[in-house]
Amino acid sequence: MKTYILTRILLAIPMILIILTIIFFVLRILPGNPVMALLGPKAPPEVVKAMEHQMGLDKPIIVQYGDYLGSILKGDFGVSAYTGVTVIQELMQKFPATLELTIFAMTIAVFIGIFFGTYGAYHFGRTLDIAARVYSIFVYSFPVFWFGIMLQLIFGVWLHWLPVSGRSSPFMIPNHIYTGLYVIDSILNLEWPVLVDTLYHLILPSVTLGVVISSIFVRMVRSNVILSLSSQYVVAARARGAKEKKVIFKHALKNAMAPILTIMGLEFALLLGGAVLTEVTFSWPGIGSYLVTRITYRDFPAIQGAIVFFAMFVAIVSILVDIANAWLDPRVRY
Amino acid sequence: MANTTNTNYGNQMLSSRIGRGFRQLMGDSSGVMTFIGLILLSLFVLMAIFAPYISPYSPVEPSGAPLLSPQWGHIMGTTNLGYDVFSRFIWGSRMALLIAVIATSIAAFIGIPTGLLVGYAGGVTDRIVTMIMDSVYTFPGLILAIAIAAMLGPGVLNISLSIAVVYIPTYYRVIRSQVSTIKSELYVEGARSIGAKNMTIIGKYILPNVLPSTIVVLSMNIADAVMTEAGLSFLGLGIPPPVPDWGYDLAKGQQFLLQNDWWMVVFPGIAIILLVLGFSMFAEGMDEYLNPNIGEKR
Amino acid sequence: MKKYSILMTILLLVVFSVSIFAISAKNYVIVGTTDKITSLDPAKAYEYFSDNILQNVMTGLVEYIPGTTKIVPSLAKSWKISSDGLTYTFTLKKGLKFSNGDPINAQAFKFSIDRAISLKQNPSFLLADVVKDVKVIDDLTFDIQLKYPFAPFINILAFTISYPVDPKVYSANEVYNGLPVASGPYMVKKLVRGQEIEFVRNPNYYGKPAKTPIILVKIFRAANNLYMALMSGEIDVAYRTLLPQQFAQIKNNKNFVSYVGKSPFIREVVFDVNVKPFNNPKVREALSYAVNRAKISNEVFMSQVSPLYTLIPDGMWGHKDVMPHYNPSKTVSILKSLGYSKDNPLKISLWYTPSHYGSTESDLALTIKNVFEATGLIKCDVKYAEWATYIDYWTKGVMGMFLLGWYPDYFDPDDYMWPFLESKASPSMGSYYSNKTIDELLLDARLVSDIPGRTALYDKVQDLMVKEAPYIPLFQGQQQVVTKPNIGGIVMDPVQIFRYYLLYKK
Repeated sequence: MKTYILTRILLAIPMILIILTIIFFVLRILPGNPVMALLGPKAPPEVVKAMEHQMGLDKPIIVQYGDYLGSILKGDFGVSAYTGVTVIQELMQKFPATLELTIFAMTIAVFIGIFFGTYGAYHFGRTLDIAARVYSIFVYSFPVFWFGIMLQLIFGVWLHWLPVSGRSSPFMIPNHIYTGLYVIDSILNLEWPVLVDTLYHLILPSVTLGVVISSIFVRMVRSNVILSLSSQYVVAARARGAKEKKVIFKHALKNAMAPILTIMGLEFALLLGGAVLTEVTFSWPGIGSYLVTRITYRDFPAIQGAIVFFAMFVAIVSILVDIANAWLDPRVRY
Repeated sequence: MANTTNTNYGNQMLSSRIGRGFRQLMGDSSGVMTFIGLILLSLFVLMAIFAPYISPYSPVEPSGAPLLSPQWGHIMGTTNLGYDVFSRFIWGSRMALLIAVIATSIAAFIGIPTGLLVGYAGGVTDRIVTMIMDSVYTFPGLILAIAIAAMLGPGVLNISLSIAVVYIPTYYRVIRSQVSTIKSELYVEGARSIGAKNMTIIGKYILPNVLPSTIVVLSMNIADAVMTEAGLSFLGLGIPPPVPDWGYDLAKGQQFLLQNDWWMVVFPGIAIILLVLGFSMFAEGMDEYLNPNIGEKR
Repeated sequence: MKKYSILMTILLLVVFSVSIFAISAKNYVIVGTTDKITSLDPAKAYEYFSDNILQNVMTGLVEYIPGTTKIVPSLAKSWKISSDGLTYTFTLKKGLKFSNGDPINAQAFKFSIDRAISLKQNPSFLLADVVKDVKVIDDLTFDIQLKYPFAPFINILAFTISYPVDPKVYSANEVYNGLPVASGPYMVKKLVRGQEIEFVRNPNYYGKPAKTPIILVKIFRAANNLYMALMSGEIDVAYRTLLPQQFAQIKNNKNFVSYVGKSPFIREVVFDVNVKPFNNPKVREALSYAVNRAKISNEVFMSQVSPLYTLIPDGMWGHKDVMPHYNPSKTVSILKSLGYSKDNPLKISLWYTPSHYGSTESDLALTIKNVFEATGLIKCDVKYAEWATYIDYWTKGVMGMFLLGWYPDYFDPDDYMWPFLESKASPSMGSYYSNKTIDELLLDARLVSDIPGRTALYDKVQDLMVKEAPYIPLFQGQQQVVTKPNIGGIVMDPVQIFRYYLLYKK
């Protein structure tokens, strides 16, 4: 098991490296001078030169690349050209927001997926099944931002039920930040109003993202449950006279869980893409809105840092999923 | 085999009866889906082709007072600068289809040959290229497209390119995995043993066998590309105005939503949904037609 | 049943928490904004929001009287300017302290000015260009020596770049990223980037304490979110930046009070005078007749900006309406004389940048395109580039005609003339305009120190500028503040410093 985990981690490194390399060179080959963007047009040439030197932009690209890889290995993502704050500090502050959003969205998606998927499978070919499939195709074609805007309009503007932007109301940030996940921090601080406020703010963004992603889960759960409904032990369970509900939820669904877990890992990338648009739509202060903002200013260290973080996030999740799968399913060889 | 699982459980339910009626009416559900998908698609294609004849106004010039609500003469209202929303709805299909098709073609033209050659060659090249492709494949596509689009700047080709990069690995993976199984099949081995050249084997024996599966991928990818393009222009990384583009219109409309000028957001949104719906229904139906077992592709 | 009871508890908690927000306490004011912080180190801060925060937590030798452009001593007790205009001698107030208790003395000023220059950050040039040396005389007295006499120098001393920092906390050769050590009315207690900033009173501030003990600035990503927060009562004040249509709607809403004032912010079309066809002054002149500023103001900005016919904003001395007003028939006649016709239209591209100046920018570009094309003799494309690329393009001469904005560094006509028209400065604006007579007049205006004398010189410059039309000034911005009716202390300031420390709840 240990060697298996180690190999998985080692395999993730080239992926991060490749993505980083692509971004690094795409950023530099094309026009757009980050120093000028920072200093503005008023800066005299010698200041521009000094800044370029300070940021290492006067060196050949290959050298810059080497330097950057070297410092990444040491965990140093550089200093944001836009704010002067270290990128790692900024990312550590933004990342929990993205994590919190994605966890909630994923949970919602999985629940919808299991519910609709299982019922669809059980009623294979009948109205409920068709409804589940139509739902999944329909929702799949929703642009995340459009759906988000519609929810904002209905629940925020018309009904005034839910807050439509940000992570918290004024003064409602947890007093001590331990994890950066406000849900957990507010519990640790025993600040109940803060917890409620946080959950309250999470509803619309995570429902938006969760529903759009759920389409894939519905299809996957459906087809997997259909498969396992035909498997021998389900037939055997039925033959033993087990109740239908038990057959479906205990035997069929449980058996279908392993592939679902794999899909969760695979669809995670899609979820993150959607998270960027969701964050922008809901003013959610995560890495997605961070990336979009910094792209405008060609903040190289920040953009690279955000991309590496996303890549690491994907890699870690897929490793976790693999490990969970291996642990759940003894047939997987290490 | 899927149908055999559907034994007589729950037949007493109302839903099953309605379902059966529905099926009798419309035939097999996958057929219905393909059909609806095709109708939607042809609607948009026709709209794109005949845009100059159908659209009541020019989409790039103001044609009325700003912010008119839907009414006679402007059935979808006007934008804040007085552009006719309906005309932009129609012309927008051109841009959406154009970019999606260019992007998907670029991806296919790079992904398919690479998959063929690398899959056929095998060995170290295979391992390295596959690793690179897998890295791009596992990375969130939209985020990669955002980064590349932002760096390339606006323009039809640039946007298409940044979307294409995301989908190259999809083709590569589908083709490569098939090639590596087919190449050890008997008839390929046979051809090789009688001294056929590598290129002949790829062109004559392998390519025709792997192409059908790419149709589904293609159609699914166009749907994704439409969505990605809308996302990019929503973030302000699309085609410069006044070129009609749904994503741009949606982003602009969002700024007027709170004044209850809903038509600027709702109609471009519906356009995107319907077009994506068309492609994905078509793909779904085709998938079931080509692969009757219910293993999920994509 | 268990499920229901949990659900009920959650619902109760929600109701409870909402009711918390409804209780308004007198000891804080919540300000909402869509601005972003960059750096809070005065040596690096160089955009509106960061500077404005510093203007509330720090102060300099001198400051503006709120609501005026009049400069008065702040940390300084008094100052003397030598007769050649090269040496400024400052005497500090006694017993000044930073928020952490460290003394604010002459050494701190020398350290801060030297540091701001040697760090070579964004705004460094403001001091580096003029300051030769700082000499400490004693704890309370020091000299600033200039490279050349520079009439607006005192205005630079009122700007954030000249604010003193604590030498014990700020490193001489690195940008500081901690919470600022305050010398002004407030200090920053908590800063969560992209979310909120909490200010509390600075106990060591020399002047009148801030009116309200706590100010919370809540940061929103987009105008829509700011607007909704205002409507739901989450914030007390909205400052920068609602969309024009949102502000227009609030103005008619009796639940809010709105304030407007002229802003020193101007917008203009820039011509790169080296790029064809804009190298022909006649073409530039023709285009300047075609710009319908009233239409821009009405349709894009809901009449919330004022048309501007020169580069110096209205309300500042030296301002003189010189540019031609809207007259498309003039455009037509000039273009016809240049050989353009309906079949051979003038083909040009107008560039804009989509996020730097807010989301109205594409509408502005489209409206200008439309008024150009309405003449029938012009075919105008619209193109855009993100800010970083945009700057790169204009420094490389890619864009012949593009939209730009200008917010002054110091409140003086010099800052609206020199950077635009002086030969060595105009490349940084992307215009590359050069005219010897104008150069001489501008230099003269820097050396002369009486306002009537300088006004006369700027009059001449503006008259000369019209003939060559290297820029088409478009409009002057508007400062807009919306508050709940129970909020007081809003001062519409010509220099556009927004003072949190004057806000209070009635």
